[in-house]
Amino acid sequence: MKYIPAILLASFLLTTVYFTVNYLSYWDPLRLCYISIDGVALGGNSKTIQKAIKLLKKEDREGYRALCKWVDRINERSCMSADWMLNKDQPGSKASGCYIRGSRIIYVKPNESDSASVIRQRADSIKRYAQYSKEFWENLD
Amino acid sequence: MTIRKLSKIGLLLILVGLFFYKYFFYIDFTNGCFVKIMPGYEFNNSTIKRAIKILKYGAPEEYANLCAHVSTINPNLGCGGFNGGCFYNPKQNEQLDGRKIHISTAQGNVLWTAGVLVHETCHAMQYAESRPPSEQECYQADDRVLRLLTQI
Repeated sequence: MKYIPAILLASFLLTTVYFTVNYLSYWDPLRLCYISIDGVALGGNSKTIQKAIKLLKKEDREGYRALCKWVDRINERSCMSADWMLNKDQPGSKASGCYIRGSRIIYVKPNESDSASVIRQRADSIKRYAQYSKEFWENLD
Repeated sequence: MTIRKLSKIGLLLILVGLFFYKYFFYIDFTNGCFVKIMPGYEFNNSTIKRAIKILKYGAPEEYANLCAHVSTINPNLGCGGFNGGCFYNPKQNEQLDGRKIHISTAQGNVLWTAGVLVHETCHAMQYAESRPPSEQECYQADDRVLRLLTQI
């Protein structure tokens, strides 16, 4: 009986930590999956990135495993795939994002909408870029 | 002085050393790469450190150039403005360091920072090789690396 207050306090602290971490990033402690999400203050919606990851977890276990293993950060910003001083028409800005070779970072194009189609499109992009990361690190000499 | 006091001082020195190592230095012993990163707007310098590591694995040639020609990175605003870069040529002022570059990380964009690192390293190389500064050459260098690093 004397341990009950300590157990309650520990549960409260763990729950607080879980929700705080999941507010700012994506954390699935049972699958040892932590992905930092860098959102943008204007014009973005990092919640749909979290929803897209949850959708991937629900629908594609293999894709979700690859994401947790090969991606540690998702940046919500346009992918500058060339220098804008030489290329006014940025090829990367039209894409849904990109994978940064040599890292476990993926970029996802900012989108404020929280529609189901945006979440679906983000889930597909995140899965594809996680696969690129897996291929990069597995093929590194 | 007792052994206890000495061990406390030793521990404190180790902690201070680890703090400086973590935030203000990029060190890669295997490739002989030592770069000082000055304190700036982003105190932990994580964007610059991540960008250097991206070059290490994603663009090894550019990484080797950086390690060979850059000794100090100043992450504060330079003549390049927010998220831009700058190389102050010692030919204009002999007191300047030709192995020092300025990389602003005000927007925390790691991919762009990697490109700016390559651009300013290109200027440091031009200086080291006694060549005239050329923006075109360095824009082409960062353009090349951005294309190499991104997979759409």
